[in-house]
Amino acid sequence: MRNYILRRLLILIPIMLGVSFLTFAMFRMIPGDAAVLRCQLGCTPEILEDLRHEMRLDRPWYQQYGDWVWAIVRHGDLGHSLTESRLPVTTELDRRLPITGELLVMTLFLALLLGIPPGVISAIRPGTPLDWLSRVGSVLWLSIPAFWLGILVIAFGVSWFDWTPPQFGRGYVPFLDDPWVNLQQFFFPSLVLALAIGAAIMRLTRSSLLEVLGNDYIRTAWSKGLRERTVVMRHALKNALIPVLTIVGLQVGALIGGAVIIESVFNLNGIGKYVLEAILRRDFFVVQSLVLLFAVAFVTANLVVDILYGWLDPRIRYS
Amino acid sequence: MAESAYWNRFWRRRISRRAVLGAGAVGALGAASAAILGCNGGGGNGNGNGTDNRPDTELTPVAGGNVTQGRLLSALGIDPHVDLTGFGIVDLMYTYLYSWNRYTEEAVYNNLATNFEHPDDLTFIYTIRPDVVGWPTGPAANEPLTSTDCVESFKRRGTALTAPDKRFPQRIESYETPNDTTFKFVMKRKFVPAVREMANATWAIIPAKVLDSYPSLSQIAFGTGPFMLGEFRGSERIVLDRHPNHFLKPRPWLDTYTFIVITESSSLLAAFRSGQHDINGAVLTKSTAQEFIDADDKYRVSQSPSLFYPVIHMKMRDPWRDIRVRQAMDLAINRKEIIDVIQDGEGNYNGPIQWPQFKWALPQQEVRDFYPHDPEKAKALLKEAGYPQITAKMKYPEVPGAPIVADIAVLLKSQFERDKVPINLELDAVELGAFIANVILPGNFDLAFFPNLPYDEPDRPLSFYHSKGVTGSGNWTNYTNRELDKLIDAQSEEFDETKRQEIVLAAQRMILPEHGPQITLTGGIGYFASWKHVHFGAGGDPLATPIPGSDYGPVGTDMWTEKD
Repeated sequence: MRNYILRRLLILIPIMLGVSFLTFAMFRMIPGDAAVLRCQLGCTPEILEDLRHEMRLDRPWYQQYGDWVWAIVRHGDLGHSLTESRLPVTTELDRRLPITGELLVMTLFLALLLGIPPGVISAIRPGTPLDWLSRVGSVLWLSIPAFWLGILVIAFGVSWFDWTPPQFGRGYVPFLDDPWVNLQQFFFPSLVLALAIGAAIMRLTRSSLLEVLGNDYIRTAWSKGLRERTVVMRHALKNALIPVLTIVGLQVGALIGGAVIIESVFNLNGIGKYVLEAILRRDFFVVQSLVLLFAVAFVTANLVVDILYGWLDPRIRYS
Repeated sequence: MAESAYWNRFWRRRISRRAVLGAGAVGALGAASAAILGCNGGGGNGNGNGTDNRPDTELTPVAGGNVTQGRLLSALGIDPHVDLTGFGIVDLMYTYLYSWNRYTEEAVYNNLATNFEHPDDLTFIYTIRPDVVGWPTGPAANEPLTSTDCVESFKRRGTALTAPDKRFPQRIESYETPNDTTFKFVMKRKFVPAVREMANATWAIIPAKVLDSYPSLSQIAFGTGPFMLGEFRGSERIVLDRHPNHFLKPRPWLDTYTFIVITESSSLLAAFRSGQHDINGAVLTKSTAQEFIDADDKYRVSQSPSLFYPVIHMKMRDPWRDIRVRQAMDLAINRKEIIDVIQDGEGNYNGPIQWPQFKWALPQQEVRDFYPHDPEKAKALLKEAGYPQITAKMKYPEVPGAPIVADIAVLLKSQFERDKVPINLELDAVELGAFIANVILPGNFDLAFFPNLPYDEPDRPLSFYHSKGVTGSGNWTNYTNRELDKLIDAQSEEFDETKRQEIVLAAQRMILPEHGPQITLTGGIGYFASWKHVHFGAGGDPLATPIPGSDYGPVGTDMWTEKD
């Protein structure tokens, strides 16, 4: 097991190099750079040239890429913003990571809550109104884009209750400072993001559990006179959760993508909003570093999923 | 009949612990949602009750409190000399030579300078107040601003790499500081727009000691203005604290002034509606402002002609080189419909200079007469020019939070199609960064459609028609008209206002029959809304007209709030 984890972690290195290079290359293919956007009214080609020189964007691409990678390897320095602020990426990450982290954890928690119990109920009571309700609900949540739902939540909150999330008026409040305000800040954005993911989990849980419930060993369990809860929860669900877990791991990517939009709609100043602003400003180092971070998060999440397979099904061996 | 069997079982069985837990979980989720919403229902701090409806000049300001204002744009930096994204914040932190009344288009000496002498067209002499002192912190703590600070600030503004529009500072020949309270500079060439320019937000006077200590003032500030920087997170929240030793003390009245950045337009408006913001930061049109106008017991709404003006830029090559084609395009545009459909029926036609520049714009009737909507004549002109069918790509920027650009582009295309004018506009929406880099700066377009900035001085709008363009190094459209260049140059050097007006009008009348290289469309009305407990003093809110003859300080000093 240890060797397996070590090998998987080692695979991270070529993945990160590949992702970083691809991001670097693709971002430089987009027209415009940070110098163009900083060059203001009265911008002339001479000023633009000076600006590019000052921002060190006039160096060959391989040199820019090499310096950036080398700084990360040597000092863990992800570079700095190319805007007037010149803020180091790591400083911004320190502030924004907890926001996105909390959003993602809460979303995942809600998605599992909204996905697994209805999926189980749906599978063990097929054809009942509860089953129909769960299935129709899941199709509905999968069909509605999260950003639109987010806007609706805000619009209804204002129209009916004169309410908008607290971060609209005072910015982010950490959980330890004021748990109640923090909950108000994250509940709706997490719920909006969780609905579609929860719906996918629900559908997969249902179909997977239905398949498992038809297996011989489940029939044996029933014939032993075990209670429904024991058969479903102990024997069937554990096995049915393996494909669900795979989907949860893959959904981390979707979650990060969703966070970009939801953080903007709900004014959460996390990594998602940061990357969106950076793309619009052609802030190369910020985008490169954040994409790298997303890649690491995605690969790590799927590594955790792989490890959990073994816990769910001891027959799975890592070699 | 699985359903009926199910319901039979359902009604017969006992309610299990699992069912109770399941129902409880669902109920808790719902209750949590309701609690989050309900417990904060009406939690807005905007309370219209008890507000006094008399004009601000008749009320006694109350010291203290906080005002929160929404912002659509992140402030990437707050260096006043180079960073335009800090607009609206930097002018609360720094001192300027004087303020500007955009309605009378005159300087207001309510700031650093008390007096201005102009012995000849090239010499500017300002007498400055001795009691404008720095904030209690920083390299120039409590020290008065002097003429030396003015010189150093002007030099920095004129030489910083990313400082905007350096035409004025580049024409300054020399500075003199006869004493601490006299600031003089002499220009190489006359440049009338300088008078307006010195009052804008990029011409802050910063203590020289601060400039020496901090080469970049992007994330930090040490000024002399009414508010001090308390917290700066440019994409989230900016908090300003009262400057206790401001030269107009006990003003400013407010203890704190807070900006909250919300880059999503509908969320920003929602925050204002719910009372989390005292001052709205979202763009308002007549239709979106109507709910606030109707609720006049709670909100204060002011309006003003908008200086933003959408413009179609034409590259001077075939077919747009032919004046008949340009005229046909002009005739095919139904400007009245743009006003009715896009601008909620409000606004006017723009000539080369926007209509709200009342001193300089052509009379409205003259402009309207010049721009009739005549698709039949347009078709005839195209036929005469040998272009029975034109297909042209019109590039426009996708501006986040400003759908009006795309809306007008789509309307123009539909107008041509509906009236069967044979100009087929292929609309090409380009991401803003790519638009600047790939379309505007290299002049890579046949037709480009975007709003010019809200200039409130005639020189800039006219510069688009000058052979040297707005950058001084050539215009994007390749348009050249030597006679027009002379007029545009002449108005920028004419200090006599009446004579300058004549030249500006003559230049516009020369531009109109050219039907290019810019086709200016219409301009609407902008709206500004705040909760009624916020008072702006005699100077009024940013869109209101200052009360004539009243005494008011620089922006922010006279604001106060009835809210605790």
